[in-house]
Amino acid sequence: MSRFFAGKDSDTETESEVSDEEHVQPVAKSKAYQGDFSDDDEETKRVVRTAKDKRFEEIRNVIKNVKNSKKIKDVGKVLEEFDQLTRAFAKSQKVIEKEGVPVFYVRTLVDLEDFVNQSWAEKATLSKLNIKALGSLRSKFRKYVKDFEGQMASFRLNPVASEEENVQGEEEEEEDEDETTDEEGGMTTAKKAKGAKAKKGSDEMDEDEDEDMDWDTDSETSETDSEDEERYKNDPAARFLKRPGDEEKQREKEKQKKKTVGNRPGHMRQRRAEVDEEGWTTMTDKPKLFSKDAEINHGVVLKKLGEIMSQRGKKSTDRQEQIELIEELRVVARRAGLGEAIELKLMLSLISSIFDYNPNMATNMKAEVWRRLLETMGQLVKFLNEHSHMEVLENIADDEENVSDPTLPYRVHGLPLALIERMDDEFTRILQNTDAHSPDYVENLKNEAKVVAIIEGMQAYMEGKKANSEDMCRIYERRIAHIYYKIDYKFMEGSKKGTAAQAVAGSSVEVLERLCAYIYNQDMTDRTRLRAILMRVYHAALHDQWYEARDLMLMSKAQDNISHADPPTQVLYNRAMVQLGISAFRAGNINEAHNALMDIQSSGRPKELLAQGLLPVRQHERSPEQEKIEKRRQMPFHMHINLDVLECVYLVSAMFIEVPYLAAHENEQRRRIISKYFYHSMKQSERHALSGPPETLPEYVIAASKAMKTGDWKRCKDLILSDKLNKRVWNFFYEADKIRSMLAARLQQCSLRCFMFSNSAFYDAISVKTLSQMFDLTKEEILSVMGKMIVTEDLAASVDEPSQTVIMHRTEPSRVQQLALQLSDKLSLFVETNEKLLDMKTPNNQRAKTWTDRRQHQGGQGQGHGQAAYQERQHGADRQHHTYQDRGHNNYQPRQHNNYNDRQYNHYNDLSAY
Amino acid sequence: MAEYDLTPTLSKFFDRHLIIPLLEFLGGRQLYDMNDIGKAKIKVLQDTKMFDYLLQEYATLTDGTSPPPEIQRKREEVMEDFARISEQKQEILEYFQIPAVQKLIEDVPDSNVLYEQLCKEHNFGSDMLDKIYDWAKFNFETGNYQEATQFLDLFRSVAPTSHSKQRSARWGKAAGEILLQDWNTALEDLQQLKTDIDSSANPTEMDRNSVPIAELLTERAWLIHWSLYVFFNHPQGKDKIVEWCLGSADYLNAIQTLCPHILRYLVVAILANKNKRRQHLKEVKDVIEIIKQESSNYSDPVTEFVISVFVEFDFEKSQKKLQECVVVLENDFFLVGCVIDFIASARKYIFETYCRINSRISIASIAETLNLGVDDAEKWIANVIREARLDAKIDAAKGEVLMGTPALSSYQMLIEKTKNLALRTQQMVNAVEKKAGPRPAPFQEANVNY
Repeated sequence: MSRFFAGKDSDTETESEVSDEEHVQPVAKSKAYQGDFSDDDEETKRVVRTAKDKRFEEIRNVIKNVKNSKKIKDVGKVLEEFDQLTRAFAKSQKVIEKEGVPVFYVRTLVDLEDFVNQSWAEKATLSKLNIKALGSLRSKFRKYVKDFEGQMASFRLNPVASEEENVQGEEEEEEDEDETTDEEGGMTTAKKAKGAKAKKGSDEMDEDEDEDMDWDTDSETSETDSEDEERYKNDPAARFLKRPGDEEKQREKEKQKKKTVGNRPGHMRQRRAEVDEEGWTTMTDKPKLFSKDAEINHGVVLKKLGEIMSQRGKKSTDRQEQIELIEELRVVARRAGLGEAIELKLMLSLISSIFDYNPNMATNMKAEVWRRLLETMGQLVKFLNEHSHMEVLENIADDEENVSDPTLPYRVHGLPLALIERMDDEFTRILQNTDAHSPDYVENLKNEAKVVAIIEGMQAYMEGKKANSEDMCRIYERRIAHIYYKIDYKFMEGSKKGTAAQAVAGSSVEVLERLCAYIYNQDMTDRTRLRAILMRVYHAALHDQWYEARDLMLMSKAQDNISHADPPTQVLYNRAMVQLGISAFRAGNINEAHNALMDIQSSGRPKELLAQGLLPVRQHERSPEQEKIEKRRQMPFHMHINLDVLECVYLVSAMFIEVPYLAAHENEQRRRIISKYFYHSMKQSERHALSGPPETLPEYVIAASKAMKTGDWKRCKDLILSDKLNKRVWNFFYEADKIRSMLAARLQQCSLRCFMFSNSAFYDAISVKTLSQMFDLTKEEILSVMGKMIVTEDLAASVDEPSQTVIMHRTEPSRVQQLALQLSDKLSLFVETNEKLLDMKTPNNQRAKTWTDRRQHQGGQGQGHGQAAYQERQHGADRQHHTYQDRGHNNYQPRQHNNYNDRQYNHYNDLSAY
Repeated sequence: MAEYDLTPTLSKFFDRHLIIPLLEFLGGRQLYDMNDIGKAKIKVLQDTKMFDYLLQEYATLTDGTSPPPEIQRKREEVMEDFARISEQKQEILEYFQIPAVQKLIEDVPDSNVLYEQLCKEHNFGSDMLDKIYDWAKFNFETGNYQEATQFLDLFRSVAPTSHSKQRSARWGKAAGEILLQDWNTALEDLQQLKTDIDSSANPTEMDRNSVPIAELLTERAWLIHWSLYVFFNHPQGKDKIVEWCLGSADYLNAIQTLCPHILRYLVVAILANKNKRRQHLKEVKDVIEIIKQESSNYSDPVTEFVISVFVEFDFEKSQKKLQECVVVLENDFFLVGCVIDFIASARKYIFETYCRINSRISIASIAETLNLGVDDAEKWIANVIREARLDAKIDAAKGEVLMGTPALSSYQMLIEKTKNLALRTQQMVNAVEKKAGPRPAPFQEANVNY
């Protein structure tokens, strides 16, 4: 129903209220204001308010429905809605106890009563179904209404006054005045409430807050609009005519309004709507804060700031305006020379207002707001550094602040560190929400320099101030987070030329070392320390400091505890692990590389585990919330680890390990599968009747593996070092040629081993010379490989030294012997199965026990002394060499990787339950 | 060879007094300039109270550095101290001359009880303990180790075990014994010290805060270093070092984190140990694992030799490394006594591995690898074959060694595969029984009703 043609009866009046209020609803509610900045008591109040609003809104919605049904005389529906209404009312009992029965509810009841009575009278005209419904409605209603008799009676006596009374009992007189205006001008209740409030003045803002929220639409324009509507509602056409008399009146009214509005803190901006309404000019005035001749001093500015800030987080607040107001206030304060502390305080407020501007957690700031934020942040940090004598602390209460007295040290309440952290998070969010392949991303990324500069500035400030260690750890962590994933090429050059110590000096490695050392020592939350370690591991691995990275990883005991960490830390752990694996590969430690990468790669979801993109939804669908959370966790694109490199490095290391093993145990029934992922790819390609030339990266590696298995090292080398792999993988490494030659050498040796495994049965003896020609290796290298194989009993052979030949000792077992061997294999399998069965049946079996024992043992050494363990690393380290000994490097395998996902989903479940 | 000299690294882990023998040794090796060594000695001695020795060192310097004048002053101070502290000694001696006290000391072995009783009955007190300790310390600093150890012994026997200076007293005593070259007692002391350290690290004790783990680690590292004196002088020392270092993760941990150079001593101790042949292979394997892990932190000819023989099977390299090892060992204070044993053992290992790989070897090439003359090599091989019971024969006419080829027979394989199955099953049965309670009634009885 059109609001323009609103009738005069009270029904529609409420109706328009409802729609009015509906109007308000979509205004985004800033979640941000619930952040760290508001005082506690204010917050609790606010919570109550929202609860009340929610309940009342619910009731109002039902009321609206009731009315609609009433209009079409659908008694059945009315009955239904009435039930709902009573239910909704009962639900909000708690709120109502506090606030009293709301007027609109009473009014609805009164209306309903009228309706029932009226319908009862005209019963004859109703349909059968409706009559039946009416009967039950009537009886129900009568029963229900008993509790409200008093209120209803008083409402009937004086419908409007009682309403006002209920709302703001203390201002009855003014209300009466208003009432008269109401009658004359036909103003809506909304308008009335506004007038009343305006008179009340700013100091009572909080009390009538609820009213404010309900009635007040937030933009002035719409306000005037509705006012217009009221004025012209009897004659819509007149609205568009200009009448001098009217205008006169209007102007007078505006003047009055201006006066009232001028007192309202939220609306200090001069009306622009009044001009707007005339259709000629649109003029945006600069916000005016003070009258021209007002004396600007600390008290005034502070009061004004307080007024502005008290508007924070309200639905009705125009956030853009707030920012500008504070900005203006800053200019005013600066002009008046009110001193540094005021400046700082205003800056802090300004930044929080800018943060408030964007109410939604999932989306990022608009570009211009972000730019402004960066600018202000830069100013803030610069300012702090220049005025480091000021005390800016979280725990300074408002009344303990000193902003005016220059003789005493300035004290300001504020938490710049938290602001900086938010800014950093915002930066990440912006990058997350930008398409990684668009030029925008680059543009956004360019801001990183600024962000880092701000963080560095803050760090310098805090170092100068000797901030407490906890805060220092936080800022250091931020700083590290911006360094750790970048390669410092200067360092790489340096370590190639000079000694390690020279290279480290002045490089990012040094910076990281210093910051991390501080965190190791000072951090009290294990999380920051763990993250610092992991980032350091990542960085070291990136810079080919494989041994350092490995030792640190083992010392951190991250493998044991990572399953209890939060998802972002787990992601970081996975990243560090992958980088460690790739680094091991570059260092030529194929086994370690394989172990480190295995769990990530063979899970089939490296993308997800590294938070580099969401997998397409599988059977168990993600709910939108889950997706949101996951999205927020994603790494920005520039921090991604190249998945091609990861896959290829993993496959090639698996090839080096698995292929000789495959060749050696070609004919055995039971085979240990070292790398499932590789093995399956291999099997799959073997199944093809005809395999074409390789196309994808895995296909290249598999084709190379096949060549290696037959000892065809040349083809293997061609494939592994082909253009495609060069382009997509090896060229990304710092010294690609070195890696390539390392790979080539390994390929030769590995092919030789494969050749010997698969073909030794066909030889009685083979000369070293032939082998050396075949594999392009020197005699010494051949002998060394042979020696290793002989000693480890991989090859039943020996070298005949004078003639330089390898002599095979293979004796083929007879049929009976072969069968006996098979039987023995089966027997041992049998025993093994039995043992496994027993293990499963007895949870406290021996193995588990030793495991926990070891845990305890380690705990005694390390965990208990977590702190000490790191301090001691300063002059050595507590390296968990149990790990080395007991479990060897297999321990590297982050068994908990899989947990990451379980965890993740648990996490989600929790959330959805919530 | 100075690059492999560990003295500077080692000296961080020694007491000043224990460094002096190292420097004395270096003085005789012409590795460094004598003046430098002299200066190093002076630096070490400066903070001790052995002024005569210090002055004497100044005198040997040839570059004309003269002793600074404050030494004289300090010396006089110390003399005064000595006069003062000697009175205390008299007091102590008199006290322990009292027959009742003597008797008590003899009767009560437990120092806690003894201390209490002495306090109660004989007017003993912590000031007395301090006096004993001070006197011992003074003596130690002036180089009078005999006196120092005696009094520290006394201190230890009367002071309660919880006394804060007990640990220091023990360290002092051990140092004293080492400097007196009384290896047996020193070994005992060090062993005591080891138990002390280990027990203070025992995770079952809840007051873990008493000794921070960093301190423990350092103490262990020190202990290992001090023990080097004993390890390479005591007849059973070489067994001990292996036992200590490889036997417990804690010490291995300390070595790997603080002092990987100890690996050199460990390797030499293993290889140069003449008794118990069988055990060695396992030890060698363990040590190789550690060496590989620490290859980024520490390597020297000795560790490289081990790697070349047991991991790379590069005999040319190992031969080269062996020659380097000899020089390194000869210049090492602790290892100088093991050179011959080490070389013999190293050769044996090279040969053994060589034989495992080769089936026919010319004696000439062996001689080259082992750095021996052909005739010597033949003799040497014959010896080895007899000792190690190698399955090999020398073909003197062709100048070759023929290895027996120990082909692995199927029967052997079968036995190896099935050998432990019975044991494993037995264990399983035991486990099941333990869980299920007593064995059910025998089968036949249960079936009586049938």
